[in-house]
Amino acid sequence: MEWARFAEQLVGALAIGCIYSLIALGYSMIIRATEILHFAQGEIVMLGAMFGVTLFRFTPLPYVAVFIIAMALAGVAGFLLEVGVYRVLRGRKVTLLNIMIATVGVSIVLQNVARLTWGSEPIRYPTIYAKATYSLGPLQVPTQMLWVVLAGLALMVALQLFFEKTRQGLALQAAAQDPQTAQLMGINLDRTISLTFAISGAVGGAAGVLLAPMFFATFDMGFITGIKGFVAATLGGLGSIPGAMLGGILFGILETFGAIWISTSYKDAIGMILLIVILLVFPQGLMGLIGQGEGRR
Amino acid sequence: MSRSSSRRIRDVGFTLILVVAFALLPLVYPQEYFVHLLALSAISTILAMGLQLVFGYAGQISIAHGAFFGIGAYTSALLMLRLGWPFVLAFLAAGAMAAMWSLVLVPIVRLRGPYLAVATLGFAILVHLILLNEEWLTEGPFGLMNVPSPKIGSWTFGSEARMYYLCLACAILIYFGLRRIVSSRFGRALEAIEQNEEAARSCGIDVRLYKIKCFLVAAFTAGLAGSLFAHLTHYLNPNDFTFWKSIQIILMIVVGGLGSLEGAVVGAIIMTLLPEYLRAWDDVRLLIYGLLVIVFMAFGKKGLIGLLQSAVVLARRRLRRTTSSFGLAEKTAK
Amino acid sequence: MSDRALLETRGLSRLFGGVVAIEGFDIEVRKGEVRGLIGPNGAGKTTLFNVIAGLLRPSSGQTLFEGEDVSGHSAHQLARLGIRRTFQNLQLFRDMTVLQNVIMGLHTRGRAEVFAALLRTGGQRREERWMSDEALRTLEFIGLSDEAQTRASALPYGRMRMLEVGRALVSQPKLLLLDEPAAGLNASECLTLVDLIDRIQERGITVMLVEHRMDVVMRACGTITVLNYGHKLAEGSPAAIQANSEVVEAYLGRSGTFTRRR
Repeated sequence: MEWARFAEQLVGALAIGCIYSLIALGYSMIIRATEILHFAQGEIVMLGAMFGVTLFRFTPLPYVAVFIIAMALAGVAGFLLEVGVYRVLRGRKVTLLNIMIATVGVSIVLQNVARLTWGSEPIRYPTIYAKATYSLGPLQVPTQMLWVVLAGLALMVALQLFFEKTRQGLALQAAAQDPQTAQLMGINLDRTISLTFAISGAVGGAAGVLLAPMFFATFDMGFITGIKGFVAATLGGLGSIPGAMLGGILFGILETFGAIWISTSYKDAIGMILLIVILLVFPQGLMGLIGQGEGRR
Repeated sequence: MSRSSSRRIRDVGFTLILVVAFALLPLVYPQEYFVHLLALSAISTILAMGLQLVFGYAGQISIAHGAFFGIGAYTSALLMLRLGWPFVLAFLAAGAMAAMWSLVLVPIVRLRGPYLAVATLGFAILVHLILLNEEWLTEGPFGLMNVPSPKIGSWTFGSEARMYYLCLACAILIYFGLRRIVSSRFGRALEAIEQNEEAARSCGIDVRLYKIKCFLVAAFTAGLAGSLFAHLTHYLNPNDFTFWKSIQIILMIVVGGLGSLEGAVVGAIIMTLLPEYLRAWDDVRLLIYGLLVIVFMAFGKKGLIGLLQSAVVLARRRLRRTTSSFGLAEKTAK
Repeated sequence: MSDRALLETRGLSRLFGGVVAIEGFDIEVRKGEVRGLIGPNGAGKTTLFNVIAGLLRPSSGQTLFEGEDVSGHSAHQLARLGIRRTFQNLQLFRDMTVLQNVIMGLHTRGRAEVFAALLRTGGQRREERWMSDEALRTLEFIGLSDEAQTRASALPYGRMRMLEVGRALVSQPKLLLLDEPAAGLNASECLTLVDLIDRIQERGITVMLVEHRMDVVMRACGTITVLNYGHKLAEGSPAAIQANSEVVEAYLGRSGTFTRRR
């Protein structure tokens, strides 16, 4: 294929990769802080998409504003889930597995709440941009994709800065690495966990608002997208923030280019198979490479 | 040893009563739909028990179980439909085929926790895609129709009631079979692996081999369940065998109680019948189902079976308070 | 009785990245002896143990057991050959009872797999009964008979250590590797441990132990090998080792104060 087409595919791969990264970040942050695999994360993405499309329908706000508000709302949703459900369960000292199954329950609940609220028909986003595609030299790139890449990267940079440079961010890191010592240092664990869920929610919601304009918003979109985001997170190494970012982009590239070379009816399986192959070589994901090498059996 | 043999008699008696009760149900409620549901419950218990072996006893998180179910279903259906195989052979072949496919998991068996889960998920997605896309074999999304009823000798299991009894019989046999396996050296090794892989190795247990064997046995039972399902519903569609099916089976054993076959049975029955009883609230049915899952998870680690056990222990203690000579001797650790 | 070493390593090395944990290590453990392995922290004792026990692969060198090359064998393979171990940080089956833990140690002595279990053959039933009896006998040997039905996690620490030894013993191993068995034990528990090691030796089992508690080492061991910085520093009887100035220096540094050499 000519390099212009290739470059276009690459942008597409990057765009979907950014979205996977954002979803993966949600998973990894939550696992890092609580060891919980948040099965409902895909539904948070869906909520973001739904909030976005609703805001578009009923308010004259521009896309940027919709994006930010939908993100915030999704963040609130994540926060409410933690405070209303997961914290209660943790208080009852149930096993980790129970909480994870509860997130499956939450996923079902959210899907059905969405179905009852927004109906079961796929909802199309209205046209957002004056120009549907931008021409970058010989390339024709859909505007949304550009926006996805820009917003996605911006969010990831912001997140990285947050974790490294702000007090709250460092507190989150400390709490994740060593909860007991963090508490001794005066960090309120409950609050850090709530904050983690809020940020994961926001990031997931962002993924939703970025994704939906490219396809549709449906109540069950969280399922598959969530799984893919989770796979991406695993690829990078569960619990690793840079791993999630890397894993997402990599998974996007693997999926996009894999689909070109292999028959598209097995498209969904490609990413999974490649993931499994990678896991076999790096059982801890890509980030497991760094700092290991002990040759343990 | 009379106390343990009296306990055995009590156990057997209790089980016998349950079996008879289950057997009499269709006579009390003969509506076809209900009996069909009972048959599905029996099939679910087989699925749940098989997964319990892998998940509850060996501690391996597998999202592949639904795929083995599907493989068994299609194998049995196709063998009878296309090649005219007799039911018993098709039934066993279904189990064997599913077990054979479980060997695909051999390379990933060394993965742990969520990584293993993801890999088994990949397997489930792959199997589903094969069932969906290989239309020359499976009729793909149109589904496989007219799957014949089982015939053993001169008996045809055409009615719902007969199928139910067949499924019940299989479930009971598999229950007792798995019970023997679980309380044997093999089962102990699985539990050891779940609790401490390192220690298990130091006892000479080939952890990898045992995990593979465990998957083999579990997949075999899932395949058998698949065969029963195919010949019960007479129609197969690939969308019944997505990873969501695997998750439903996981829900069964977590709700019922991890680590016990009885828990798997209880959980399977409840999670199969529950959506049916929620049919009245059709629109919000799944919503309530999801809420119930969350609520169930608020109960201790041993699930509903654990609750039942605690209740029984409490009741026993109240009864035994007067005859203290039993109390000390009945010190159970598990 | 053959004079040949039960366990022998030749030029055993293990590196972690660029760090040399053990290098060019030669040791010969004779059948029936109780060998102590001591050295300051970071000397490589645990690494050596883990390589011998199959948890780590050697970077180079050989391990021979009963004259056979077992270098690179995995932990479970070595267990089957008769090398059993305890762990520094206790690896018990916490949710199993004491008896069940010990029965796990007998796994390799059984043969019943899935089919035998399904059919409940006479052989399988006999095997189960024998395992139970054998485990109970070992519990008596280590003094835990009265705790047979107690959950392992409910035991006091000292008894947990005993349990782990019991689990390793029950299969009549040829070589028993004890990794810091005295860690966390009080004085009287240490005496019990030394006594136990003596009784184990009486049964003809070869013992190798890594230990920091000098009182235990000096009393239980016939020969002591000292490591420092991954090399063998000295080897000899307890008395000889105690008198060895290099050994003293390795532990305490020159003129009795801590100095870091490197």
